Amino acid sequence: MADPSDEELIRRHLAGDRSAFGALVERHQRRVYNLTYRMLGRPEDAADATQDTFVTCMRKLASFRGTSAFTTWLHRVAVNICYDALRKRSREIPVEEGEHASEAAPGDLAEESASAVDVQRALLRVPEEFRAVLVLHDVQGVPYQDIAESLGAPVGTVKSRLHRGRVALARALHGEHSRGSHTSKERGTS
Amino acid sequence: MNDHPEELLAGYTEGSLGANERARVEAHLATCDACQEEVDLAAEGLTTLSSLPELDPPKGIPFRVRRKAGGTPSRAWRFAGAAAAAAVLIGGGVFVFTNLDPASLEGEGSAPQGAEPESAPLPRTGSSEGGGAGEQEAGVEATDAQLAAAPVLPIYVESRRNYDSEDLAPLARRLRDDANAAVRSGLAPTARSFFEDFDPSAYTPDVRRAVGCVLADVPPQQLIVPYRIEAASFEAAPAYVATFLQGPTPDEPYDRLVMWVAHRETCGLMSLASQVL
Repeated sequence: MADPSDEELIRRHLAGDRSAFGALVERHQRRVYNLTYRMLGRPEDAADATQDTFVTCMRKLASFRGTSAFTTWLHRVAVNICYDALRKRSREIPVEEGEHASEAAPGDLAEESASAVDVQRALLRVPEEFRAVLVLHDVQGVPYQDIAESLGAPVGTVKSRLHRGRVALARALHGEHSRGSHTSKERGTS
Repeated sequence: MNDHPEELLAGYTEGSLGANERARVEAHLATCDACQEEVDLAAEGLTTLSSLPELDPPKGIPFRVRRKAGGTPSRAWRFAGAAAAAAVLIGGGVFVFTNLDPASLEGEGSAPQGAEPESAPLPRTGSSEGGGAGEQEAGVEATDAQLAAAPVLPIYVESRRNYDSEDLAPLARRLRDDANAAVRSGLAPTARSFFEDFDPSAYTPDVRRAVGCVLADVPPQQLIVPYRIEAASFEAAPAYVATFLQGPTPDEPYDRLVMWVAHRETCGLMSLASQVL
């Protein structure tokens, strides 16, 4: 028998099935963890953000109308939790060099290869609104339209951020400061 | 500067544009070195990102979610449950709530979806003996003995009893009788007077944890008196059956007994019973 759909698991959860939400967590934890890890760059922060994403979803599930896919909603919650975590981090950590503030601490990336570590460090220098689009589209393969729904932004904005994010990433890999693109209509994120 | 086809460049980089759009971008790139440079950089960025490995999430995320969701479930909701219990009790008798919050009910013992274990028939609390009820009976007897000598609350009982929702009402009625006897024997008759002569630091770790599970969801001004804590099971999950006494206000005599069933690991509320004293 096919696995129950997300919507079916949500229906069961709301009907009191104790195991249904756990099945949703099992199914989507990998996607959420990778998204939050690429956004935050620290395994422990990503684990916390993953946990918080699912807890938030569980508490608000009754208000989930099902007009978009569960994963679209999950991405929205996860990205917002990452934004909150980054804001909190920027307040709590003394910043000596701005662009290094959100870099992973030494050893956090030990599980990844050296090149992946470099890429992750560069990714953390990409403005976070571009980073979210980069991770969702280029790492996780989420379509433009779904990202636009998750982020509440027009599809055109998603495409622009994606382009500018890719450019910023390449520049960060070359050791340049992220500065968006020369075509920018949006300002960089704060 | 608005003639740069920025919204098309992402699609161009990944090769997803239609022929017309692609031709438009190429015509622009032929005359715009800045955009050409960006497209080259964007291609590098895209290639780099697509090489990133997918990581395994750490073990224990589902448990952490259950623990956090069960440890601090939506308070408004749990208050609502308590308020509903109070409302029902105006009419007297016992009312039992179960399945108050599917989230808080996710114990470690949860079965896969669609495979909920059936509750085994259990001896009722009021019945004389059978299964794991022996410890329970002993606990209640100990209550009487302790209270007759000097009320020391809360009474703490460990048992192998596996309760289900139908067991709670009979247990609540039994404890009501015990509690009424305790008041007649000299137990401080109001929450205020009880706490005047009470040292919470004397709690054992188990009692502290069980009481903490319940108090996390009770407004601080609403004093409730811990009467009896039983570490047992509820529907096969480890649970505290925590019984409290409560008056309309802290300065009025107790008028009801409230029994909270909380998951021993997550603190999640599993059931609630209330009984008029």
